[in-house]
Amino acid sequence: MELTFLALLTPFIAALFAPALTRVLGARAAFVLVLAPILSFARLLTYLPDVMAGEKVTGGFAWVPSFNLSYSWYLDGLSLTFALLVTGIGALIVLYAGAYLKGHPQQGRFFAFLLAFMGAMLGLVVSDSFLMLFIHWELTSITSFLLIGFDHERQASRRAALTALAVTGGGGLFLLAGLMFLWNITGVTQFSLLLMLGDDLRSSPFYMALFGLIAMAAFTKSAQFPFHFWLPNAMAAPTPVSAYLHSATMVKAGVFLLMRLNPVMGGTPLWTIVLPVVGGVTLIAGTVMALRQRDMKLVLAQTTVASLGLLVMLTGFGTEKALEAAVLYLLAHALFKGALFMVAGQVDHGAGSRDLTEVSGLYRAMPLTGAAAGLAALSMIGFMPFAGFLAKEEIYAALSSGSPRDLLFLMTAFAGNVLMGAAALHAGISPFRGRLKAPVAHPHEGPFGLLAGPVLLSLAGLAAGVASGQFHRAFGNPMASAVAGHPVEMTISGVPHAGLPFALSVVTIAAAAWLFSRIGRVQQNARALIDALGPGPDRAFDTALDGLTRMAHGLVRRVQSGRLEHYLVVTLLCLGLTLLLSLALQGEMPRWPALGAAIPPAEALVLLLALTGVGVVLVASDRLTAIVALGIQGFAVGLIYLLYGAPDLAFTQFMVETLAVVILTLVMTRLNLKGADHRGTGERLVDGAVAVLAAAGLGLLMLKMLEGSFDGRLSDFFNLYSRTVAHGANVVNVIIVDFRGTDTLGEISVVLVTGLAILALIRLRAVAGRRRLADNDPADAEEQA
Amino acid sequence: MIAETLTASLHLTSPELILGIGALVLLMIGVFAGPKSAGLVNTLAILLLVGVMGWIYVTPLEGLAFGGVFKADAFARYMKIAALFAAAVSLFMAAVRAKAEQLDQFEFPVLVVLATLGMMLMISANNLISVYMGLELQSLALYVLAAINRDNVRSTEAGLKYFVLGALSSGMMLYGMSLVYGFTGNTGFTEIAAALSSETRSLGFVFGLVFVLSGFAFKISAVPFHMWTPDVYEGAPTPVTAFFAGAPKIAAIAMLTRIVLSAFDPVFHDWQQVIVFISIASMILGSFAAIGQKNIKRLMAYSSIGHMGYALVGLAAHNQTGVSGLVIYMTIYIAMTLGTFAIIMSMRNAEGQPSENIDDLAGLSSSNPFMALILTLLMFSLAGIPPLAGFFAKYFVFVAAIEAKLYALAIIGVLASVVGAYYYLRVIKVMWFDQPRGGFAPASAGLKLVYGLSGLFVTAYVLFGGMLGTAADVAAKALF
Amino acid sequence: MEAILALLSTAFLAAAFYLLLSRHVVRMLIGVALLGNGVNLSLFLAGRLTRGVPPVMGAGEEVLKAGAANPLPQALILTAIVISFSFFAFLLVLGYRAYQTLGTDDTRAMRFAEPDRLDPPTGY
Repeated sequence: MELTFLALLTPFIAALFAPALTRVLGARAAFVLVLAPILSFARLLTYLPDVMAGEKVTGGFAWVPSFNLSYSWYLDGLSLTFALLVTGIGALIVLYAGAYLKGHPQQGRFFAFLLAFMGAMLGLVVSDSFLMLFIHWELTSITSFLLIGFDHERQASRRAALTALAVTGGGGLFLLAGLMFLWNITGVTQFSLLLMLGDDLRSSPFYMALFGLIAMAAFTKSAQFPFHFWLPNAMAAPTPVSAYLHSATMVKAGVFLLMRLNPVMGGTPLWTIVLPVVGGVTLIAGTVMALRQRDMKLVLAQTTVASLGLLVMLTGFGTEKALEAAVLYLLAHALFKGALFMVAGQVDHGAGSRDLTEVSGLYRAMPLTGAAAGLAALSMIGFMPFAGFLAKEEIYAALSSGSPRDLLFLMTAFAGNVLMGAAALHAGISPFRGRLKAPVAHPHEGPFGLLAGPVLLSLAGLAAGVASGQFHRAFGNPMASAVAGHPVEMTISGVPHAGLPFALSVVTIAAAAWLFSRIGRVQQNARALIDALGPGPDRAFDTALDGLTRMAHGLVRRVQSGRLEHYLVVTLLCLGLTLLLSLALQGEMPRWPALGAAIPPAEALVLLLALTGVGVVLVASDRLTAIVALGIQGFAVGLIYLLYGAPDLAFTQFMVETLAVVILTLVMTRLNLKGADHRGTGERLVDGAVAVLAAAGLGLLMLKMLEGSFDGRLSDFFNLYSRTVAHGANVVNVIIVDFRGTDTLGEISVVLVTGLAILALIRLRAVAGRRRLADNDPADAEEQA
Repeated sequence: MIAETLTASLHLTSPELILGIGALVLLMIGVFAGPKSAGLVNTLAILLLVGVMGWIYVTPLEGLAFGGVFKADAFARYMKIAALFAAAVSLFMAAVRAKAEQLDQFEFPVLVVLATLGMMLMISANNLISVYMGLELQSLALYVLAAINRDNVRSTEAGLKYFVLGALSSGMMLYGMSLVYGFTGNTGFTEIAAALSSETRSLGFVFGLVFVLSGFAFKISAVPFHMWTPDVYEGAPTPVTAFFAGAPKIAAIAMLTRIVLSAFDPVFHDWQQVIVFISIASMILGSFAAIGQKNIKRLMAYSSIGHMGYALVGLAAHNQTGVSGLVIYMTIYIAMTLGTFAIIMSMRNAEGQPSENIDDLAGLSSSNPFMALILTLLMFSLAGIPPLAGFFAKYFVFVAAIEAKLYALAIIGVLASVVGAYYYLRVIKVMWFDQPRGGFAPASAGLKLVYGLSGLFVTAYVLFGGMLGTAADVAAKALF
Repeated sequence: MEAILALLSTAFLAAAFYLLLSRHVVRMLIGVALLGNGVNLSLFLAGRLTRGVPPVMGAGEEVLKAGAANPLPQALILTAIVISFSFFAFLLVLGYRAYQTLGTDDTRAMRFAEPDRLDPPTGY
């Protein structure tokens, strides 16, 4: 078990050492680093016999038991096949990258990112626990972001990196939400347990929400329409990345997710309608866009979009045959598309361009590459006896039951295959046939590292088709069984059987070849069609992102003006409206009090005094008058305390008000300030309205409170124990120094802090002043300090 | 007997007493030794904070002191250690930059210690009046710290804004407390809870509750009382901002958690609505507003607004998982924030002038790869990208929300974090993809240590997260 | 009379808010002082009013006379007065410092946060 754990971590460990190793060994570091995927591959391969026998291998460690988290893996036909693809193709890619980026100043960093991605992808497919799946899912998005943005001098790369991360990383959060739903519905957090459940999910009331979340995650990751645009953009990455991430592995993660959940979520009307329709649309859109392109990599990228559409369509279709077809196509695609991408990089490397209008006739100069490209393209169009042929046969067989629904998707698959076949021939054959044309004088074959990948992968595609029986037993059957949820036996072989599927295959190849013979016209038409459809989601993404930034900026402008008075207005309005509205809406407005009762003349006088004070403060045009008026209202309040039995309060109030007036006057006389209110009449009215609104809310609440009865329990407590326990006659004093002594201590600390604060602020000024003086003469500063 | 209870009370409050006496001693040293003692006082203050932290760690205190106004329990212990740690690290970082920021005065560490004392009182408060006292002690010290700087207008502006809005919010909170007292007849948490469960609550009480919660919302800078945050974060000297972003938030969150889960527990439907609203509004505003920012301190301000929203998700869940998640969230938040601020403090051009523009980070990956790597980790972690610590923080609170069937809250949270991730990403993009500008002066060893450790924390959290989770569970259990 | 005092305290609060909204630190300072008085008055009212009898026990009394004023709000207000005076003093110093640097107490002159012209950071 520890060995498996190590096998899963090996790519990460290699990533850590990659930069240092590359610094020492240069491009040759690839030959050391390639050991990491090879070792992982070898360890995983030991599980193949068990998995072929239909066993499911689990293992792992508990991590945070209280949150039910574990690091655990689950190897069945689906995950093991994926894991072998990831590490196997990964090994070839590392070799390829060693040669492709030879001499690049940041090759070490590139290896590190690439190997980290490999580890993430490996973790993604073998995860047993939901959380581990999600973590690795997001890690693939991040490493992909770094790899796409590797050529960061180009704006296109930066944009592509951001787009890819925004779409796939954002989609990952849908996955998180979906996995949390899964957990919440079923109570399990591991696939090994989840897959043992029967119809629990399908019959859950949350199925629709769950499906929506999972589908969003899969569609964004696997570049389904309308989220497909990030994938062609991602071709800004160096070619090894395109070959690895954006054809063979990462983009398949969405399909992987759907396949993984098919046994427990598939087969519902929602599943069998939404997935095939989205997949079908993606298939057609991808092929049309592929035919529009001139750049070899972009042709391949768009056919990858189309292929992913086909896979989603088949997975959603859900019949046993369709799932077999999906599995076969997925495997075949990984082999031929990986090879073709590496060929594209090879052509770019050897002939100086990968623009299909600029290179042709390279067959003589690059025979091995040409042969690999030819084999891969034949597999892609479904030529006998390649792996692609098996897949195509199975697809047509799965869709030819004759019902109207099947017919629709059969036609879609047929059209898609024809168009994709034309694109495949264009990308795989055009650069090599005809008259020699290339931007460089002597096009040449690449070194071993560049050749190993395409040649091996295209040969593997051939071998799989020839030895179809062994291929099915080792990979096809276990994987299809895992996807279907019950044992599945494939029978399709590289030898054709007469029937509708074979007839369709023949017609497909013929039609593709016919289209390829007039590729120029086809390209024009495809371009015209796309242009007629108007700007696509790619442009929309730009607009949305730009709009988001501008909107956020504008929003901040408004709510966060940096002006204190605005903040205060907002706070006061919130306060006033909350109070007034809830009092009014709840029907709890207080009654208007009877004010007619006689007021003793002394009290009336005090009230008048207070009001005068407040009024003068408001209208005073010079600040000294305002300060005096402030004093008046303060004394009036003190008198009110005195009248209502609070002599202690009154005296404190008198003292504090006196101090305030004296200090304020002292300070004001030292400031040269204009007294008048600078606000215009309009502003004053608005401010006044806000102030009255907020105060009215508080006032009404106060009246409401006075209507209710008073709860005197706590006061009674103090009354009762003041003398008997604390031995004090003045209850106020007893409360302050005895019952609530600690709070008073706190109060004293507050005063202490204020004092300290004031000292600090005043001293600061002096210190700063001295500093400026002291710049010239340190001794002088010493003296003054 | 009185002597015995008094001794027990003193024992329970011993950390606070040590801190309080220590603050006074430091003040005396500062006053008598004069301005030259600033460095010494700062060092002593750090030792004091660390010492008290150690004292709390080795003596688990449990019980009620001074007639129930002060409560020591596992929750308080955890949060106090977190707050003291954040304060000590802030002081440590401030010491490095003290000269340049003109913070080399003895008042600065003393005020930080006093503010921390206020926080400890807040965390242990078990009575409305002690809440208010602790809060005011802390706030006043913070008002001063905001304004303490380099005789520059920005700092004064920050101090003024913080003070006026803070005073208003304190007023509202006091008003709310008087309403709560008026309608329940009590100020102790336990008694209020008893009163609330035996009577039907009135509208006036609900207002009181809302006012009290508004006061807390101001202190943790949650929407709609967040407005001071960006201006103060930007205006205050960076070491002060680092302090603001850490310890006070822990204290306010801890106090809020305690008050709603003990005093207001019987009426949890009322406060749950308020918390859900505050949480959603903060998450959304935090994410959207940050996008348009160019100044990294302002960015961190909006980020902290958003993070408080996420943390409150755990509280809104009103279950033990939620509180445990909240505690973990705050711990991870502190680690990430302190590390980020250590980097912000290291952002100085060759002449030593501080720079705060995100664009100044351009090409950091080639000019200072270590700093770029750490900042990348921290940004990814703040964005909640797995397997970094920040992801787990969010994960735990969202799990709690789903357990509590608050689906809408969880979904809005996830969506907000998608938007939020965008601006952290921009920082990363600038560092790795943009053309290098001048580069920075080499960071001091102290700051390097802080951000290095912070980067290590967010990365290695996956390995030791379990231990932290257990501690957080123990803390959360104390409230249920 | 309680209702009338409630209205008076409302007037205090309204005036205080109005002053706080003005952009001058000195006027805001006066606003803070008024706010303190308004809030204290409402606290006083919350404990209900009693004319003339302070909560002080005569010699030999174990509890207060019936009709004595409620002591608890008084204790709270005493604390509040002291704290609001601290606030007042602090704001005064802050305003004074602002004046020393800027030559005015107008908060509009303090506009370093969110300066007006800034383009949003768009592009890739």
